[in-house]
Amino acid sequence: MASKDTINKCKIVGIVALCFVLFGSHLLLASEEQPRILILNSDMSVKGQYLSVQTAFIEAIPYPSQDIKAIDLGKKWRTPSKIFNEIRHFRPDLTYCIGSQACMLTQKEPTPTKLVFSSVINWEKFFSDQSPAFGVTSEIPYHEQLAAFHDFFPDIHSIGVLYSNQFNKKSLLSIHKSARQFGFEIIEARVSQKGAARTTIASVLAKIDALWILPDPLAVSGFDDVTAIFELTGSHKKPVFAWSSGFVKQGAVMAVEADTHEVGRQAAKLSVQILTGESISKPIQAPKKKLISVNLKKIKSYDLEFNNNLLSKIIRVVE
Amino acid sequence: MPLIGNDAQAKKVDDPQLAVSEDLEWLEAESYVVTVSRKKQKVSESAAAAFVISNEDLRRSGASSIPEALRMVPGIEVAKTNSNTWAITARGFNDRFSEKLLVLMDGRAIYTPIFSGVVWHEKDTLLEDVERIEVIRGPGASLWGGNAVNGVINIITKSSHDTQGGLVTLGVGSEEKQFGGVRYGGELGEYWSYRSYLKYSNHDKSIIPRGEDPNDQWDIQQGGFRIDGNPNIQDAFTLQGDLYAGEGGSYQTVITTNFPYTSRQQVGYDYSGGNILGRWVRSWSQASETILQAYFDEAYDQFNYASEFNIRVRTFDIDLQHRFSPHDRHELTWGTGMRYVTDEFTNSDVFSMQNPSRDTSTYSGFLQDEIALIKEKLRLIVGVKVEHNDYTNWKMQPNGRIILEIDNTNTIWAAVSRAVKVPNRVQDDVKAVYFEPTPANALDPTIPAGLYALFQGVGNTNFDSEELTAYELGYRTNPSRKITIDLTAFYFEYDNLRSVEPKLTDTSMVVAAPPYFLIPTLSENQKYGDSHGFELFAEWQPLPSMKFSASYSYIKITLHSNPGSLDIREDFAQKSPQNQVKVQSSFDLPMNTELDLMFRYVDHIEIFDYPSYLEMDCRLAWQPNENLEISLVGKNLFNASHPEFQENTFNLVPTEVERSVYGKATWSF
Repeated sequence: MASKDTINKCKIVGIVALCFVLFGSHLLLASEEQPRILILNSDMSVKGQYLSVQTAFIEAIPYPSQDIKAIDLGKKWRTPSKIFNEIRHFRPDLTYCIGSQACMLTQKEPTPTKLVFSSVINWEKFFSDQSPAFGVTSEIPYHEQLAAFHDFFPDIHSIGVLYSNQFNKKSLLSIHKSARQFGFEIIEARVSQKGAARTTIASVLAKIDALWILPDPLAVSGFDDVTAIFELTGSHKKPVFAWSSGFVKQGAVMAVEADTHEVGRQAAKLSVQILTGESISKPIQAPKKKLISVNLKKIKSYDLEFNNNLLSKIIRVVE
Repeated sequence: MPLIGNDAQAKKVDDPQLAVSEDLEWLEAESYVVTVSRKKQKVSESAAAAFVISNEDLRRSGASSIPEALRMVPGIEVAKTNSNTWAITARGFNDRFSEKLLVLMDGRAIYTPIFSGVVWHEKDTLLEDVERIEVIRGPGASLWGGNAVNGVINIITKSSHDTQGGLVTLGVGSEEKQFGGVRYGGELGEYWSYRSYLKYSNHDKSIIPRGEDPNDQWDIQQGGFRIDGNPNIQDAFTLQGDLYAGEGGSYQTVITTNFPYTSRQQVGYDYSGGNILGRWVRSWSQASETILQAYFDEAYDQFNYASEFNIRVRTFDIDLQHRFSPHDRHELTWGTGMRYVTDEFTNSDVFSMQNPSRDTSTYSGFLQDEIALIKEKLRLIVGVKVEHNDYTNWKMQPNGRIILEIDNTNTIWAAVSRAVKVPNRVQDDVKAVYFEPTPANALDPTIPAGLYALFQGVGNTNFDSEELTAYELGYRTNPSRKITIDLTAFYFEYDNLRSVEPKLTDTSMVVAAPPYFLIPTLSENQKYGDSHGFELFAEWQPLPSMKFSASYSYIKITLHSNPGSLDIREDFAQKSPQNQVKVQSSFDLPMNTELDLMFRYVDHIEIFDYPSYLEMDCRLAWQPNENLEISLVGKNLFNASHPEFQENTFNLVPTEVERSVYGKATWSF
């Protein structure tokens, strides 16, 4: 009769053989599959950022539509457990996360796929060198924005930056560094709690030539903050720079923003490169196309020095 | 209006109010994350031997209970003693009541202060609602306090926000005879949500090779609820509770003072209990947070020997914790807490307490500073917990940890910690519990044959805390995005370890028919020793649909007695398997099927003369659509039955774990 040790050895050999068979057959099956892409959209009802990048992404992806699935996390009936079931059922090769909620979901229950993100504020909180990902940032690089402010408004020297530590602490380090190149003095207008934009701006207003609003959910937490920003800056004739053209009509003199359609197309290109195994030199990319909007009426009413020679660079104008 | 720039691209902003609305909507959508995410440290960034079982790992393991799930953790010893009792520990000293392992469920200690251990089959929840199980091997006392000596297990359930909708599970099997659960979650207004659940499971007996009836079939019914609310960006509230009741049994050697002193009895066992917990989390900023938590827990256990023996334990606990950054290189966490325990015993012939009812209190405070010596490179963590308990007064448990992130893929950490195991109610206050009788002339040859000596366990109020000084060293690496390797080595020095000392000089002769000698025995701190070992874990995911993981752990324990010690306790140095190997593989197959294989090799256990064993669990699942999963799970498939551990606290007759299979359907809607 075989000893227990011999039986155990046979079992181990059997296990190893089974693993090899499974591994080989799996590789064979996997190689025949078309890549599948899952889009996790934080909320498709947010048209400006989330929906437009998704539309552009789908248009730019060269795979058949049946291999692309979009899940709207904004639908409340789509609970995380249901979403994980859908993901498991779809078995994507790559997941495109649009917005923070989508990124957070993949962190909560890591999906065994490659990740691409876009339209995320403070993307570093989800991804790091230890858990790397690919993506397109939501803002135009700060040095490019500062260069635009410098070129169009040569008389402005001190800029107040409206932000919160929660969302933009790292951004400020980058802004300080770039501002030195253009001779700007950066005055920090740090908001520490919701609804405190008015008092924060009031405390720096005397020291600044212009106010720069960063995309920051705590610093600009609603219409009340938007109203406060333009009431205060308007009464003191302080120009406002913003991150979206929507603010230009409200009273901002200038906005330097990313073209959301181009962001979607960039994310699509990145995804294809990943799926085809191309080498990618920059896993985290800045938006390639920027849109500049100005409000000429405000510029005139504030008597601002404005560089007309650069007007050809402007895409959107508000009278 | 002058149209400036590139005419083809230029356009007017037609509806700026709408445009700002969209911007604000985006900001609001992005802000959601702050509300729900708190400081979460990745395993790769922690200066401890940490392992996390995610909800997905749980699902794919095919585990039907929390102890089953813990089998996948490297270095954790999990052994079934009979159908309804488990022995689980980290880094040695395993027993049915493993007193050096602290276990929490959603921040509530499920470690009983009576015996110092976990009654695992009573502490359950719907596994589909478990978000993750965090396991720390090694001391966690500076944050968690007394008894977090060799490890901490923290079972964390999902927020009710994440369990909206319905879920029904049903299963039948050979050992897990019938089981099922129902959960439904919904919204309570815009910011609040709830879930409630019911579950039932009925388990078959284990097996005694000689053919006797182990009488260890058991069942449990449990229900509970959870309400979560985030009424604003800063505050999060949780209220949750559970109620359970069940019946079990055992076949055990019962020792009394009646000749022939020992008898094998089938003992019935009824248990019930409940808990309620409330938690308020205030996020002041991303770097600052306050948590206030309070809970009440009650457990009632009724053992039906020839006479009844009951234990009721009520625990009230309140904790406050605050984290903040006074400086950009420091992150301070401090906290304070109070625990009040009241118990009631119904004394019996088998087990009795000197004080059938007693109240005890524990007060504690802790402070921890995480210092970025070199930002994003080198961190030092120093902390201390000071705790006052009614058994041994003040105890201090400091620890220091350092973690160096060498580069993006390599991390090394080291830790030195001190932890104490506080005496429990039984060790301090038991009046009479009897150990296996010994022929009296084996102790004193002058005594005529035929008379017996009974060792009577009695409490010792001078029994002090057991102490550990732990040294740990760890290394983690990700040589590629598909491979993770984690290695931890440890050296533990134990002092003041518990021994059970017979007081031969206090022996008395009891006049009975026949007369017997009664030898009082006390818990004392007459042992010391050390343990060393390492745990190696590796994970490889060659394809998104394929994952392998493997772990190997080694432990060597050496224990010594002080001169003059007559310790009659089992030798814990021989109660742990020296080598353990665990291998897991997961495959996503075509047609929405999944295959998971788990192998484990557990070395022999010397003290029981149990041989090593190799076992395999297997899960095959099919998801015909997004809402339905049907799975077939086989457990312990290599052997018809095998022994894992012997329980000698209540002298259970040794049983073996049988091969089993079950089918399960899970429907979510």
